[in-house]
Amino acid sequence: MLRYRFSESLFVLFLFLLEGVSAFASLVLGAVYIPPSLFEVSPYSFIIYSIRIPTTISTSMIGADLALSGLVLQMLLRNPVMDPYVSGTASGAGFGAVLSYLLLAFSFPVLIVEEVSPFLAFIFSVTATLLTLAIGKKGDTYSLVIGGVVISYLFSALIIVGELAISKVTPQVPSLLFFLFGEIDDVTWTDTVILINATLILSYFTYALGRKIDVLTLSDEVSFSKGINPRRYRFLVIGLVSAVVSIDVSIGGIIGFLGVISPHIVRGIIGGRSTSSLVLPVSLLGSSILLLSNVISRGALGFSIPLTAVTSLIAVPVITSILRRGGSNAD
Amino acid sequence: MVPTLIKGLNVDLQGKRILNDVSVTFVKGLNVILGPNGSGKTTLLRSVIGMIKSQGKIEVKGKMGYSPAEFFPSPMRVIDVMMSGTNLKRDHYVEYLKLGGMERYELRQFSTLSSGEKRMILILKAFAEGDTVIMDEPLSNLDARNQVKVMKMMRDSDKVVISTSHDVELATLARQVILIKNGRIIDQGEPFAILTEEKVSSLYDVKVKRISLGERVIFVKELIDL
Repeated sequence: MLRYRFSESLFVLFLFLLEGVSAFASLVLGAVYIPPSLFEVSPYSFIIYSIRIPTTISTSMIGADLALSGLVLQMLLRNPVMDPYVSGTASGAGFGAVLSYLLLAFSFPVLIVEEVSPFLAFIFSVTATLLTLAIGKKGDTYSLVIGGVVISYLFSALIIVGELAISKVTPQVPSLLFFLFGEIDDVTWTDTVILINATLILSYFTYALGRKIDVLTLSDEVSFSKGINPRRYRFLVIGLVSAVVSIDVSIGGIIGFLGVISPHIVRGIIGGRSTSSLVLPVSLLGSSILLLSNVISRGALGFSIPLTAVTSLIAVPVITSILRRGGSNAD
Repeated sequence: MVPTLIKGLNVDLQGKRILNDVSVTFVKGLNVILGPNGSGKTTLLRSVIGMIKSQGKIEVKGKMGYSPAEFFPSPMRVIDVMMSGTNLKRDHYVEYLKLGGMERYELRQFSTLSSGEKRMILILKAFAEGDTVIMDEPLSNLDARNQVKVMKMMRDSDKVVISTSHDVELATLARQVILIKNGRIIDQGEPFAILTEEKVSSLYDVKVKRISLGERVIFVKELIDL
């Protein structure tokens, strides 16, 4: 019965290599090709140090966040196709961020809007997630997914309405439609530092709460007998995931399916494991996939493509295989 | 250490009284709760672990282990499932896997096990963790061989083992049997005093015959029209 599995450490080593290659590709490829020999040569050095390095770090942090969020949501909601995109969390955050720009129409200064934006994103991401849970909690794998689809459509529609309202009232604000499809470009060092912290916090908590998250997937009764209140932990962790996803979305827009793809591929290769032991491989893989997707998205093929279009193409076979294997049995 | 006991326990769910003034002092060794479907057995166990709000006094001796009637097939290895929710070391769980003859399953994916094998894993987990070991229908889905393993483990344990069951055979091995019907305890005591034809028949509202087989007794249901 025991299928041959790759050893965990060999796989993690491979993921580190992949991460290195992806990061390198993300540094040299873009609107202009900059080989390493030109990194120190002006004006390329400016592009490298002020744009490509922070953007590359940010992309890999967002990739890790989304992949980890998917892992955690799947475990807590006992559903193998959950991730912040499917659960509506990301769309809610996107709407919150767009909504904050509407404040410009009421002549709020830009500085205040930028301060408020993450909070609104957080409030709406939590709202969207809870709405999805309310719709889907009574049913099986599919009802939660359908709940998420409905809520994502709702908030995507609201984003479009918000964007149209903004462009009518304050035409000087650049288009915010990138929120709908994801775009990571020209990230500042300030945002990069925020993202690094968010990723560290999320990975730390996922690792530290790992064995608690594990028992929550198994049984509410067993959790209670260990003094773990499942409801309280689900809210706590969903709150944390929503907060991190809000930051990601405020910077990179709504990026789909990374959270489904990464844990699934990792489990397919090394087998299902405790949450703690999946933190490193899942976040490394998520970050590599997003780095490579972003290279394609930013024009490696000669034209730019929205990020979620790239990640969706990768996700389709993965999600199909999960659902064909029959819903809730994730491995 | 305090004994595991409940005193004057009342539970209301959705305006309906599910448990009514329930008091039991659980003894060291096996305690079996017998009762018809819907009599409040699972509610009683869920009150003990704090999953259901209740009025009354509940005291639990030491740490709890719990083997649920239903569970989700977590996408993890058997050893990860066993270690979940605690800080106990891996070796400790491997010992219990050996005790149940399940050590070859340690690195298998939990979800690929049969339902009986999964239940065995959760029973061993509960024994590995608790001073008070609570089990909801532990024998269901188990084949005869695994039933024997579990029944012996429960009978011979020096922990406080509390188990619901529909299997009167399990109750004959207990130190204490508790009969529960319509949310009330109707009788409790040692098996030879409780497991009489009359009491078991009236508990389930069917006719049962008690047959002695050497040291053991078995109960056979008469197939009358109901």
